[in-house]
Amino acid sequence: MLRRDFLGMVAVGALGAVTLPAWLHLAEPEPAHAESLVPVPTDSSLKGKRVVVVGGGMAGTAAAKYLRLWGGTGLAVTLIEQTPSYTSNIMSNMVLVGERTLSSLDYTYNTLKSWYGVTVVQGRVAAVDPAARRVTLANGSVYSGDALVLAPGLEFGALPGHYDVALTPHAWQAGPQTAQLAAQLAAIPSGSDVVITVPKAPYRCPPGPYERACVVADWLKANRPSSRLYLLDANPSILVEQANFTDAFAGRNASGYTVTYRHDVVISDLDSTAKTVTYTYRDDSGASHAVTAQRAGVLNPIPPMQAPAILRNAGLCATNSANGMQYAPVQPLTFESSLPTSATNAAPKYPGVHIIGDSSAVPAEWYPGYPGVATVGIPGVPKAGHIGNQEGKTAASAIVRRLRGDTTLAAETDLVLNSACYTPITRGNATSPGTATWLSAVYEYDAATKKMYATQGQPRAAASATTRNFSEMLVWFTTVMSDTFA
Amino acid sequence: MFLTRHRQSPQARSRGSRPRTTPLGVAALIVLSGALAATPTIAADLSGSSTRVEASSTTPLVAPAAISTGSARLLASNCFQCHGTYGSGGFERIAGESATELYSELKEFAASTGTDNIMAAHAAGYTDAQLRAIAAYLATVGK
Ligand SMILES: Cc1cc2nc3c(=O)[nH]c(=O)nc-3n(C[C@H](O)[C@H](O)[C@H](O)COP(=O)(O)OP(=O)(O)OC[C@H]3O[C@@H](n4cnc5c(N)ncnc54)[C@H](O)[C@@H]3O)c2cc1C
Repeated sequence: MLRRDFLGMVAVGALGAVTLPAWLHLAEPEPAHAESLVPVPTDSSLKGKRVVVVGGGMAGTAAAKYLRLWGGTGLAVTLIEQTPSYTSNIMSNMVLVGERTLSSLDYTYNTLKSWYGVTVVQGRVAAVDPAARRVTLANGSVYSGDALVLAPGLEFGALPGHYDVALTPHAWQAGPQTAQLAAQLAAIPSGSDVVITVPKAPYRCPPGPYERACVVADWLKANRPSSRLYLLDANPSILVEQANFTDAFAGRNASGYTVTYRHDVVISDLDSTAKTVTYTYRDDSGASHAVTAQRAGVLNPIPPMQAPAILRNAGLCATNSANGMQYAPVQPLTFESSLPTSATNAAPKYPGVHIIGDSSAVPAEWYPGYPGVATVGIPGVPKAGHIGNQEGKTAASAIVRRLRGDTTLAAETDLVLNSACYTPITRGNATSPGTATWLSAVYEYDAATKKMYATQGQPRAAASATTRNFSEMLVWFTTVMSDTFA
Repeated sequence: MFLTRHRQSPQARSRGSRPRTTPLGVAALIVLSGALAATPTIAADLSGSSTRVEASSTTPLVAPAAISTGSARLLASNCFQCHGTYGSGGFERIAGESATELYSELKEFAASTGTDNIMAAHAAGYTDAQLRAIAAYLATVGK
């Protein structure tokens, strides 16, 4: 139990020191060493059983890996993914400001194939038949299984007016759009502003838009000091880590940048060609203001997002009343679809169909009495990668136990899901750390209400943005990615 | 109806430095923990002279069959995003540590509500029974 002590000691030492310990330079994604990975247990008890996983992101890849680790060599696992490799959203804001390359966020399925024995099919699922637990690919091939795990992430919607994603990329799914937005930022004329818009919650990664505002404003401060950053938030307030982001936006950060934050924003026209936004917002006294055609040098609308059409068309989704978007409701213990057979029959309509990751809607509440419950924060399990990985493990565990005929499963209610986000507040990299904060929340299942509750005192956030948090962020990122892809 | 939680109030104890901090021989022990790690970890060398402590040939971690099902395994897997698959590394290897040691560390973290520490935030979210189950499970990994 020494690493933590070691981290503490280094942090204390690093505060006053100019040079950083060598190990801080090492916290970059490392290729896994196959010989040192955990082997899939030789166990043929599930021979003849097959699980099909759709989507090789944070949730689906973790599910596929743990299905093999916990199901053994007998269980056939097929992962269907449309792209040849995965680009991590986590850390992608650092690509926008030139602190990381996009290729440093690239994760292949090689270890999943060669070490864990997952059959990886590159293809796009075009249709899902949940009753038959069957999927059809765009090329016509068909896969079915004893269980179906659906983890296709999110699909991005439109904004009012003349919105065109091709001109104003959201870069909320890391990849080509990230490179495009980075290039737009690098070319922004001096003195023109960056405008980022935030959709109504729930959306992917609650602190993510605030994080992006911070690192881009930090970059502007150094490179375009006469430009401003406007963050136009459809939500009534900063949703998470209010203290840390309020501080950062007000200039109480390591580089002294500021962010103009506007809440209760309702956009009536977003013009991607003219790069203008027309909207109303409320100030802190509640008074409403109208802004006509605010012009941006770089306009980065983050549109509303929902479960992809393959899930909506399959009848697996329900509308979220907070933002009108659709997600797939699940029951937390297994992440199986919780849609009832009929209005009078509560039995699950689609047993063996599990939806994990950002596509799913997990019933959740704050722990009763959590300060500020009524006014602040997003009830519910966040759409995030760290917890998405755990949702994959939860589904994998339930599937393996069911296929094994584990009779104790039905009585099992001891489920905890952990979420963790690290947020860079100022720019940096492994060689030259910036500052960061963190946000953590632990959710526990309540058998009486069949919901997850944020446990007492959760969520919790870092007291302030520090270089130590930044260095820990890189260790965390490397590790969560390797628990998923290696 | 709701979760009943019986949490102890934070222990009245100064937490300026961690009680088991071992300033002597840290470099050697870090190297040792790196060598034990079964998956690549962000291992370090305090001297700063060598860039990376490689995991050498090690016995891969295998969870014992006896407790490989049930909620303990799934509860403990919450640790793996930061401590590596089966607790093999990351911030710190936790696989195969003694259950008593792991449990007392977790309890200490859970009680240290005032500290600016993400591990304290995590540990505080689990019941005593869950922390015991996690410690017991991790202790048997690789054994
Ligand atoms: C800027 C930013 C910062 C973030 N920071 C954090 C953080 O600090 N911590 C954190 O926990 N989370 C963070 N997140 C959130 C995290 O990235 C997502 O929540 C996570 O990736 C969701 O995982 P998923 O598996 O549901 O979806 P994804 O990771 O998006 O994976 C979905 C996969 O499914 C594939 N797919 C989709 N449709 C099909 C189809 N029809 N056929 C085949 N394959 C298909 C896609 O190609 C993709 O690979 C951040 C996100 C952003 C944008």
